[in-house]
Amino acid sequence: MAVYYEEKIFPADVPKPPIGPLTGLAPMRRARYMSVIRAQDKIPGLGRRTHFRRGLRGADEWLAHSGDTPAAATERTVGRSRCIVTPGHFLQCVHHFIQHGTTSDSPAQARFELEVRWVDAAASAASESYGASVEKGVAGDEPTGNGDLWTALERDHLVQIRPDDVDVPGTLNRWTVAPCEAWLEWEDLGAPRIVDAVVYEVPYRAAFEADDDGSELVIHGASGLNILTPLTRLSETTPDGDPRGGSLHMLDVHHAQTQRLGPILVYWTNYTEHNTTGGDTEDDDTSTTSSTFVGLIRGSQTAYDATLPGWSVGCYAHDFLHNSDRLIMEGRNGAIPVRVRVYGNVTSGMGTFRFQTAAHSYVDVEVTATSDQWTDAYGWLEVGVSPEDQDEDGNPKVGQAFFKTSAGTFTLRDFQVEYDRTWDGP
Amino acid sequence: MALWGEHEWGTFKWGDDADTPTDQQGAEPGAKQDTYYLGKSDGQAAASNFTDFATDRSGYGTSFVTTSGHPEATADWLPVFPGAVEFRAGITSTDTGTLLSADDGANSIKLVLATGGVITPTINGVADTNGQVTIPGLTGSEQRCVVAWITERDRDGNDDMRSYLCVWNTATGQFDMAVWDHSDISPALSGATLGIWGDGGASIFSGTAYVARVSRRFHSPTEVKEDWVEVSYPLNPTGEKRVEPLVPDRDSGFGDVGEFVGPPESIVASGIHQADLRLAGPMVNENYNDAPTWDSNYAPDQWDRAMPLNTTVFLMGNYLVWTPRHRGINAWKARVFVSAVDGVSTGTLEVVCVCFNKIPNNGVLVLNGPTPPSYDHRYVTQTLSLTTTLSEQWVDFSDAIRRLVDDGQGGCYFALGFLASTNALWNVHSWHVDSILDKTTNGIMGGEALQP
Repeated sequence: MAVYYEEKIFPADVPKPPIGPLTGLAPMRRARYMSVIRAQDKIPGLGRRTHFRRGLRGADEWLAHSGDTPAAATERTVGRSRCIVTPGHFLQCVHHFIQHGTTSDSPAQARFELEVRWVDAAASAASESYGASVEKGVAGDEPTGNGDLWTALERDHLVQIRPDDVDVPGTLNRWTVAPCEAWLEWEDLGAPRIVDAVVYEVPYRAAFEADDDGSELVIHGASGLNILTPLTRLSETTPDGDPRGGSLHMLDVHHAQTQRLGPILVYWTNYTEHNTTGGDTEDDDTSTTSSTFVGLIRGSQTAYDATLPGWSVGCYAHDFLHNSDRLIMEGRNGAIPVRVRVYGNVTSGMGTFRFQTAAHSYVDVEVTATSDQWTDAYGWLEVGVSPEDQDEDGNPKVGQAFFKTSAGTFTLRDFQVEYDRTWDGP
Repeated sequence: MALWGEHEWGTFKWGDDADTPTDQQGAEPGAKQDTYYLGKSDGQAAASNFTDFATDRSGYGTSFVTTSGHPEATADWLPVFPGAVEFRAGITSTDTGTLLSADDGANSIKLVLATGGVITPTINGVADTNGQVTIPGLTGSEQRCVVAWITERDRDGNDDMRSYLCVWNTATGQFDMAVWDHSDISPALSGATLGIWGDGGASIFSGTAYVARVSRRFHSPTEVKEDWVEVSYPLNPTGEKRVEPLVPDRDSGFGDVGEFVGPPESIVASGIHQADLRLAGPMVNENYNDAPTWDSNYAPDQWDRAMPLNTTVFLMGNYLVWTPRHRGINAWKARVFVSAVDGVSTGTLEVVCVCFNKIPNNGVLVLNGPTPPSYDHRYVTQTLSLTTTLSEQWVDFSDAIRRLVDDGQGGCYFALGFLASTNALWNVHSWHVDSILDKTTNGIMGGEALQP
């Protein structure tokens, strides 16, 4: 007997959007208006999206363990990421580490370098390098007493990972207003033992208004950032012809925020601490010659299955509305525009990488590059209405990755999934 | 310019017809505000005269006369791209015919079904095989299917349009999709002919027609699935969820001279309440490509330690992360995918995920920062029974959410801990910690409620 999954198009009780907030015809009150501006002002600065993470990540052995002594000055790529930075934000890195291992050179060295290539909206790039020595005590084997990793752990951070010219008058807008990408490459030198390191976004911390409540959350001090953050209109002769307290500007800000602000869902590198040796100069890869989709992580998996491992896609950003005054999915489900980027190559033919969150929700990235490079594609992914959402069978909303190739070998090292929306300007 | 009274919910309009009120829009199942053609045929053959074929909710036309193939020379129902055209039909593997046809003499589009369930879009007379897709699982017996051709502007600007041609066989639950970029498709809005289930000629859809809908905006595949295939259950989460209302942009005329002050501010305020967590994402999102097997000795001795205040559990240093947090969230929810090793693993395994604010027993941890606060933590726990046959599962800790313990520097630590019986052997494949906003707070405003 045929199973018709759903015959009803809509439930009978379609909810209406609230009409209460629209009841106007009341005198203007400054406090009401300002409370909206204040709330709008905070949204872009709340983020702290993670671009990249590395560390032990479930490993059972250090690369720099007894008997493995990497060269002190050889760069060893651990992973990469490439994301559009939230407007008004730059990056910083918090890392936790313990005593480093011995290297084949003397003196021993334990260091990492973060190569960042900033690409502005005009595809003009500026490359910067940030490094830190992660050395503690005497190089050698790690302490072996019970729980010594926890007591030996140190924490440090790299702040102000941003283009060098950001403080030059007139250049801030280049990196903060129009979509700007950060291409990261994490390189180890020598024998660092990094337990956990995360590279994430922080606001630029410009705050010129006296009543800004908490400069860390405020990014509107810089000229030109006013697309994502509101300005108080002090004059009726404002440049945008908006003489009534900034209604048009307020609408512009909300439009830009919902178009440009969304999560980074997945940041993944194939690097595993315990599978890497001191002589490696590149992170591990995963490859396939299969002409049909196989799991990136679990090669025996050939189709999406939410009961199997994957990545979380939990977020609160949803494209419920798309220039319509009607709730698209009535709060029952959600989808967001995404961009999926992969770093890898295919020896011949075309490799296809698929990131999937439901049977009907996936984005395919088609790779034809024969040497390692970033390739990206965009699409839509079902993510639910909150991180607690589950599918109809009570399984978590998870993302799973598959790949295949039409010929040759498809090799993949890193991939990212982030919110994506072309900005159509104010 | 329209005045405020025409911008109420339910009548607000966009685009070319912004001044045309459509108060019937959305009143019937299947119609949305962006619907401007909705045809219901109640399962009749496309070649017959339908008694209830066209239930037009657009407000643009009131006398849509149905005939075989149903072409109409009118601008009222023509597809506009970006947009969406969706069909529900009963189809066999031998059915053929035109599902959609729009032609103004200069430009045209078609969606044509061929034997075997092969659907091909045709743009200006040229069949675009990049967009060709086959309905999966068709047989000689009729099965209900959903076909959707949805378009958006090419976000990369390399081409004009991005199309998604989605097909569901709702009898089998199978799905397939073609995605391709192409040049603009824009049959003129006057003088063109629209054909639903036919092209006005001989190419009439031979299967059973149920519903066709033409919409003026992009629908994601998920939205099509919700409307036509399977409706999700409403979620009642422990924490907050977000459902964003419409906030019109300035092109709507909402804030123009002559409009009242107040409504834009009020509706933006409503939008902020639902858009405040857009930047929040997973705090821990690991899917390990190589998962070592652990036993009751846990990680190497130097890597694990007793969990403070719950000392039978061992925290493993190789599942230790520090993560920044979205400043608007105050709670977290975890899940872990654990497998037991086939054939040998028995006993029990307690899995613990803990959030804490400083590394225990380390008071001088931070090189460049303030003195850490006193140790505090919140955790979730679940005990599994392991069997000698392969067992793997998501450990969801009963979907519990816990308060986030901030370290005073904008983040917190998470770690996994375990308590394993002697013969337990297990792998950790995935570990997620999601950002949650607990309902007991007042959103990001933290007590500074938006003024109504």
